[in-house]
Amino acid sequence: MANEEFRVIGDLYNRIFVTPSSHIDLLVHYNTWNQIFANLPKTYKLPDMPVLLMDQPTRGSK
Amino acid sequence: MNIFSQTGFLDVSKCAPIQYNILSEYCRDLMSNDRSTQRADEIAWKGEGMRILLATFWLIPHVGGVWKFMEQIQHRLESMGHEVDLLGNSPDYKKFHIYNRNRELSKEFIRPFLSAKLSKEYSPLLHRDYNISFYEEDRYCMELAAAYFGLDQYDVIHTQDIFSARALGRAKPAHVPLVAHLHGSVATEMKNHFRMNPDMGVDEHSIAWKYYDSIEYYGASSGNTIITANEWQRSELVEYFGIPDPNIHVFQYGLDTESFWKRANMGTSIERPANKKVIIFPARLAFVKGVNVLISALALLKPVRQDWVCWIVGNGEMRKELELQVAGLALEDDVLFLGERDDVPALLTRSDIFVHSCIQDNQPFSVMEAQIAGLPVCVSSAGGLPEMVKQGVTGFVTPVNDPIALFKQLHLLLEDDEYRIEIGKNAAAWGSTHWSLDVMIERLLSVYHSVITEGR
Repeated sequence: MANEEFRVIGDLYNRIFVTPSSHIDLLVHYNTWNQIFANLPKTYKLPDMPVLLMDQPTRGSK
Repeated sequence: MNIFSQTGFLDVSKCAPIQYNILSEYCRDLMSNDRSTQRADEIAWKGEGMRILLATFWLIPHVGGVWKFMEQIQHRLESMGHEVDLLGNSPDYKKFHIYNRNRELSKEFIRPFLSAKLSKEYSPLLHRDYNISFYEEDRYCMELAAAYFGLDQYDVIHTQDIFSARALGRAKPAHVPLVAHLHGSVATEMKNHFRMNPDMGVDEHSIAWKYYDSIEYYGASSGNTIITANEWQRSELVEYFGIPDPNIHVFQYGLDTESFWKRANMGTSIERPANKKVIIFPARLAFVKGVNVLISALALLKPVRQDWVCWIVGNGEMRKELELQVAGLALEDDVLFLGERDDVPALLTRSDIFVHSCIQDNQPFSVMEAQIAGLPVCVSSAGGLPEMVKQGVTGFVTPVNDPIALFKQLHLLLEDDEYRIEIGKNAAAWGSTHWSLDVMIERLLSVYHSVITEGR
């Protein structure tokens, strides 16, 4: 369980967001987020735009 | 600047510090791909144990088919020397955890950050409907939790639903193959739910309706390959979602019969009444299970014959409504609600006829267990159920929501003891080979090996 106290500004991890925004007061747990960030594919983005755009090439179920 | 030495190795002395992280990632990817190839070779040619992640977006542990399926294959694969981890939502929905390794990540570490970064101002598409924001935000938590746990350690990831398939498909390293096992259609179930509850105001023009089609498509498309338990679901994926047919493997579930008979032999405190046959329906008491259809059929049966009782085993949100239906039809002495019980195998061995008159289902374990127990089964024509029964040989299939047809089948089976016993014997003989867990595991391992070696 990640229970470390050391926190850093969350903006350090802005790379994963489609629309980066600044929240200078928002702190996150460094060890947890560093581990998450290191393991994510470089192309990883939030939110998941293909799903939200709903532009799949098919008509869907009945 | 050529950052590689003449031998082809990276020359770190020529790297500017600012580039070091990027280069480290590049080297890590190269090494990772190399390791992947080596592992695939070892697995393919030496028969070495694999490291397998079984994952679901739903709760684990849980009373339900997906959890039962995961536990069964975990035990069997581990007995063969493979390492299996189980990833899913915790029962209180507060964290994602690898249940059998005692690893967890509370959503408290993720949610506040995501809420700020993905607020309506920055991600308006996410907030168009509660259905979307609810499922998507929780799925993103799963993606980040999976990255936290590390997916690089696995030889294969085997997901059990469209949400976990999409989540892990996005969060995993490219070289780790993903097998997407689909146990039904979320989009179809949600649309049925919306149709049955028009007060929710969701129809085919609604954004929530379209969302479920989208996540079904992208979830099913996230793996290297897909497994379904029956032809019904394969054709749904191909016909309605445009998933290429060659990507889909179809093979039935298996049942751990040894464990089933062990539990059956432990007995039950419930006694069958003298001189009466027992009709049993074990199911979650939800609308989709169609328990009300059986009760309507029993109301037709009672004036004709009274040599039966019905055991309804399970709990759920429909219980009160179903009890009212039973009372309204004056069936209180004939239809007994036994609640949720852990002695279902023993109850099956004390029953005579099994019913599953559901509105929608895939390939329920309850039908498989009934057949193994030697009961004639009466199922509806919903979803994959017709593929589980040979009409008139191992049981009967009646149209969905047709209590008259079900009444006729029950009457026939109660009328002719010899015929009923013969149908039950046929079901047991067919079920013991068709629902073989060994066969299913063999097919599963074949799929694992093919996706691992294809990725080399």
